[in-house]
Amino acid sequence: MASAWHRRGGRKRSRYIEDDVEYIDYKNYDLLQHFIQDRGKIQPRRATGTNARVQRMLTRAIKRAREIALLPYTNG
Amino acid sequence: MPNLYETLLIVTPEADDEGINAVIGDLRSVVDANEGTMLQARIWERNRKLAYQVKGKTEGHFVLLHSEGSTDLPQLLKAKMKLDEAVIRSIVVRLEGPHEAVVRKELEEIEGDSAAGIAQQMAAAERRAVARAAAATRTTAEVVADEEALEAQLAAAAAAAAAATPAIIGEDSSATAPPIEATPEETPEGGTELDLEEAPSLEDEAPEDSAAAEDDEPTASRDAAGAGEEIPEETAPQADGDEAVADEEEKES
Repeated sequence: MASAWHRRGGRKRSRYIEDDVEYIDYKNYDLLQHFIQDRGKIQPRRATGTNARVQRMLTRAIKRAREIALLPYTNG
Repeated sequence: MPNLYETLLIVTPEADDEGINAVIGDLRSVVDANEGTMLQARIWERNRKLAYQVKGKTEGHFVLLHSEGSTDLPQLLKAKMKLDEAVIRSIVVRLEGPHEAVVRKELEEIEGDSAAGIAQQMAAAERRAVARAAAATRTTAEVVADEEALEAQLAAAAAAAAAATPAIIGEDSSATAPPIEATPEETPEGGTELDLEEAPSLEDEAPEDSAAAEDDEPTASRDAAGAGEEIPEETAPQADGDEAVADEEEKES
């Protein structure tokens, strides 16, 4: 599987989310799916290449999505 | 500007359009009662698979609501959905900042819910309320019937127990009897009625034995007490003797 990040301007960038994204919708499970591991854990920033602000928004969205059964708490 | 709340809820997969409309209608009346406005209510996804089982269900209808209202609204919506057995999961989120702006713009662009649709939802909610009330009364009638049946069962059970208890006592006495008497072997062989008669006699004997045993102990203790009394009697003469000796000494002196 291709890694979730690539380098542009010397820094890691996420492959799926722009650095300046304004909000992340918890209902967008297809997007959030890229930021959880096979077992359902939230990926760390080093694995996704998101900046801290985006990672916070992601975390919140993933946790909300879990609450409403769009994403798993754990897999298997 | 009042807060914008987004509600996403999962309706049980068994529910049809009527059922979903009833849920929405109920929530709409909650929002209206709280002087809020339901901006939009729609089915977000039908028969979507759940990431994990919720109340034993593996899929459900996702319904999305956008409503404006005071800060009390999320709590009221949550409370309503919790009581609704057709709703298996729900989340209420306040939209703020850029997200709120985007959603508000979308809501402006799309047409609001049609009056006919709203009326349909309210009617569905009302029909469900009526059906529930009917079900409730029927269940109370059933409960009464069940209670009567239960009472009859209890009476029958009590009668059966009354017939069965002698046998039980006989068994108990036979179980307890062996250390006391060698006769209990007869009780299992004998009829239950015989057991009834024998059982009390066995039980009567047991207390007598124990009473006799108790009698023995006190007598032993009495003996011990008597022995104790005797000791001072024996010592007393000695004391007298001592006194006599002392008297004699005084006389001598």
